[in-house]
Amino acid sequence: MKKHPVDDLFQKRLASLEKKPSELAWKRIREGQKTKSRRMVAWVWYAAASVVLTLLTGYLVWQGQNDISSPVPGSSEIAKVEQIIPKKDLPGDSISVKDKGVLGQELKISLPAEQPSLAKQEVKTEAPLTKPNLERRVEIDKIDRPAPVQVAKIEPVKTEELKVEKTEILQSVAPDKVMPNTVEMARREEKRPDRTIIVEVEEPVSEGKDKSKSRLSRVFRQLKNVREAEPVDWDDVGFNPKSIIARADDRTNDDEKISGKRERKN
Amino acid sequence: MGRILSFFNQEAQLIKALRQEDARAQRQVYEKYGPRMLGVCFRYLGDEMTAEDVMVEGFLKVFGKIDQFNSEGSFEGWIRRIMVNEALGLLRKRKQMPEDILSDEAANIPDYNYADQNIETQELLNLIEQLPVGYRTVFNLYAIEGYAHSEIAELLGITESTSKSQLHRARALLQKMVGAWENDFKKKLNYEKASG
Repeated sequence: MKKHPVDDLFQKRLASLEKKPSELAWKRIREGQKTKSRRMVAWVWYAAASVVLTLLTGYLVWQGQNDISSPVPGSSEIAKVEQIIPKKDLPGDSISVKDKGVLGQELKISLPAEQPSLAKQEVKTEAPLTKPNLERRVEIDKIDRPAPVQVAKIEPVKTEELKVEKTEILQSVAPDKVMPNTVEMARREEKRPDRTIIVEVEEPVSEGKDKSKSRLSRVFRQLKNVREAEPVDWDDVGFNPKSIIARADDRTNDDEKISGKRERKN
Repeated sequence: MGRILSFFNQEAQLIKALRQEDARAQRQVYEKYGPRMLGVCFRYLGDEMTAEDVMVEGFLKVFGKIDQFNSEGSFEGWIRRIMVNEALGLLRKRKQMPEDILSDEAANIPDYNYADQNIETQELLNLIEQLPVGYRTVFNLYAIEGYAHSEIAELLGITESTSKSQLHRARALLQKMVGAWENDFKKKLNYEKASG
C-alpha cells in the first residue's frame, strides 16, 4: 500500500528522533526502583501478617466450635473403663483363659440386659496373659438413657465370677503365634444370682467450662445458633436486643407525652 | 560509558541480565534506548519536561515487567510500545484524547502531492506540536508508529471511523503547514539571492 507523502515525510524524519535526557533522569529511575522494592518488602510483611492473623482467627473459631460441640441427647455413648483384676481372682471367674502364652488375646463378652436401666451391656476383656494382671475393658452402650455423658467406673469385682448369659469371644491373635489347643474358650455359665457390678456414674460439669470460655467463643457459639436457626442465649452474648428496643420505645413514648402536654398547655 | 556499553554484547544476554535485575544491564538499556524513547514521548506530549517524566515511568515499567517480554519480538519495539502507552495514559489523565467533534480548521485544504525534503526535523516537530492533541496522537500512532486504525481505536477508546477522520484532518493540517513553510522558505531563498 502506497504511503501518503505527508506520512512518509514525517515517518522518515521523526521515527528515529532522539532527544538527550537530563542527568537527573537516570537517578530518578534508580530511586523509583528502590521505592518499588521497598513497597514489595512492605507488601511481603503485610501478607505474612495477614496470614498469621487468619490462621489465629481460624484456630480460635475452630476451638470455639469444638467447645460448642456437645453430645446429642439420646445418642449412644460408650464408656470405656479399664479394670485391672488380679490374676488370683480369676480362677473362679466364668471367663477363663488358660493359655498364658498368647499375647493380645481379646475376649469380648456381651451381657444381656439384666438390669432394667441398661439396654445393652457389653463387657470386653483384654487378657494379656503374660502380665500378672488382666485388664478388663468394659464397654457399655447406653441407648435409652437421657444423660449426655456418663463415665462408668467399675470397682474391682468382689465376687469371683461374672454372670454371663451370652458370650462372644473375639480373638485377635497374630497367626504365627497361634498354637492349636492352647486356648480354651471361655466357659459359659448359667445365670448366677450373686453377681455384683458396681457402676459409678459421674455427670460432667458443663457450667464451669462455659464460664471459663472466652467471651469471643461464646459469641461465636451464639452466632452459630443464629445461623442454624436455633434459639440464642442472649446471656452468653452479653446483651439482649429486645430489652434495648423496649427502652427506646419507652423513651419515644415519654417524648410524645411531654410534647402532648406542652401542646395542651399552649 | 563505553566500557559499560560493551559489557553486554548481545540483546539476549542483556535481557537475561535485566531479568536478574542487573544494574549495569539496566544502565546499558537506558543509555541505548533512552534518547530515542524520549523522542517518542516528546512527539506525543510536545513538552520536554513531561516527556522525560513519562520516559522515566516507562523505563521503570520496562525494568519491572521484563519477565513479560517474550524474546520472539523486537526488544526496542516492546520498549517503544510501553512508552507510547505511558504517553497515552498521561493524555488520558489530562483528558486530552481525541474527540469526535472536529474543528473546521482542517477543511478545504489543498492536497499537496509533495513534501519538501529540505525541511528540518526540528521544523517538523514544531509542526506536529502545533496540531491539536487528538490529531497529533492519531497521526503519531498511524503514520510514525505504524499502528492500524483498529488498534488505535482500541488504544484510545474511539471508533475506527473517528481514528480515520482524525488522521485525515491531521494530514490536511500538516500539508497546509508544510506548504506555508515551503512558501516562506522559497521567499527567503529568493530574498537571499536578490540581496546577494
